[in-house]
Amino acid sequence: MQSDRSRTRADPLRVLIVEDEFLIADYFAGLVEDAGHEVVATVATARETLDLLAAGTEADVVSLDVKIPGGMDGVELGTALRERGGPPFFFVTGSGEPMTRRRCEALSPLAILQKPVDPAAFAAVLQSLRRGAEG
Amino acid sequence: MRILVADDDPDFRHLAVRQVRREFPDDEIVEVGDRAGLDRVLGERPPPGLLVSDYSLNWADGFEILAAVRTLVPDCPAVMFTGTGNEDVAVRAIKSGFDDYVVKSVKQLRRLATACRTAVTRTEARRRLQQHGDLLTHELYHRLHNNLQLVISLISLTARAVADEDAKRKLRDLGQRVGSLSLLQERLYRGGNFAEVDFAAYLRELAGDLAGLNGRGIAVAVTAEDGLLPVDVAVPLGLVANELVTNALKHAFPGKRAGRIAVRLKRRDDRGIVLEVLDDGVGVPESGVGEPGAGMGLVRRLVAQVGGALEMRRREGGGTACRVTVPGPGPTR
Repeated sequence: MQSDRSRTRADPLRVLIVEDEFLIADYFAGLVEDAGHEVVATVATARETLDLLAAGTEADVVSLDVKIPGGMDGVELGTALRERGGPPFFFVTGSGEPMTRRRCEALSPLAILQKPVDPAAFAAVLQSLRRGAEG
Repeated sequence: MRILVADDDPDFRHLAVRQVRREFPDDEIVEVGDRAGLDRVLGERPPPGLLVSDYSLNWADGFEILAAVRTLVPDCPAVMFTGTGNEDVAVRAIKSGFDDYVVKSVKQLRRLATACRTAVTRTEARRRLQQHGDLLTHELYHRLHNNLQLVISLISLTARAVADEDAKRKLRDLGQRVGSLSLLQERLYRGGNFAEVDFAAYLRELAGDLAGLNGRGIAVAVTAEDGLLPVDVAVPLGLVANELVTNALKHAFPGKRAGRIAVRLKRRDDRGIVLEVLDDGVGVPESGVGEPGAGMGLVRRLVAQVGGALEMRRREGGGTACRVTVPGPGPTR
């Protein structure tokens, strides 16, 4: 899961989208492309995400839906990514429940975006990563 | 569960304790005979799960004791028993939050146990309902937001698929309208109050989103008096704000022209509101409020729906001023 050193900061970010509703996933993909970045894959479960990364797919950032099927939710997937030294991530959630929010915050993600997401906020998260790389 | 039995008459206290113990054999019963005893037990854990109190003690009355217990456990079940009371006391006991009232006599003692059991059972049922209600609210909220996201996604994907530029633009506007309704919905939920919305907070968020989407050098500043708006006014007015700010962003600054938009929300003495959207752009055509787009038609009808008035004029020195006045129900008492 190490990032490729030959890439430069001018390259578009490679974004992995974890979202089980394909319409929403397609919409997020559109937001990623509008911001000048690329989508490496769209997956629906934690298992697929971990398999993909283990198989060598490289991503600079992961957009994580919190409520996903498959027994492992987005927060648990975030924890797994951290443990494996995976790419940074941000949460996208439809839940406003304080408990879910606290679980998300405990992982200090790049951001926690509330559904329906503000497109400008989505782009800003990617942009912040860009700036972080330059700094 | 810890049960408090408060009475300054030790004989009756023991009788009451015996009855309560028969009904709750596995629970801890703490006798309270004086203020120091009450303070001590309220300082300990676990907090009380049931209060049985006399009406008139020589150092306090049952209402004070109930108030003290309820500062710790707001829904603690409680039963009052007394030999000195009358109907007025009974009514006061129920009104002040006791679940039941039992007359202090040997005959009535069995009823004390039943009253205690009923109070505890009712409180437990209420707590379960409350919990269930919270879960349901969270689940509905999650569904609603996910569905709103689906609607916005569908609109956006359709906008990408159509070739006609005008249709594309209209679909994007539609997506933005749904987005601004979602912001209001979010406010409604977060406030924990489903009848009123923090409209000032909504305006700030909306302005931030719209300015962010626009991505040009146009600053949108919000000056809003804090205050809650009833949801039936907030929803139409929220859409109006969306249209007016969107219009200004689209039409007031042609080309790459930079500029400023001010959004103001003021309260009137009759609790009505004034919403203003001002810009320092090119100004509306002299022919008047002549914007033919779907946006202004929508604004006019929404303003009429809340019984308000819309004024739109050219500002001296350039730009457009829109003012929506919504009369209130009357002056604040």
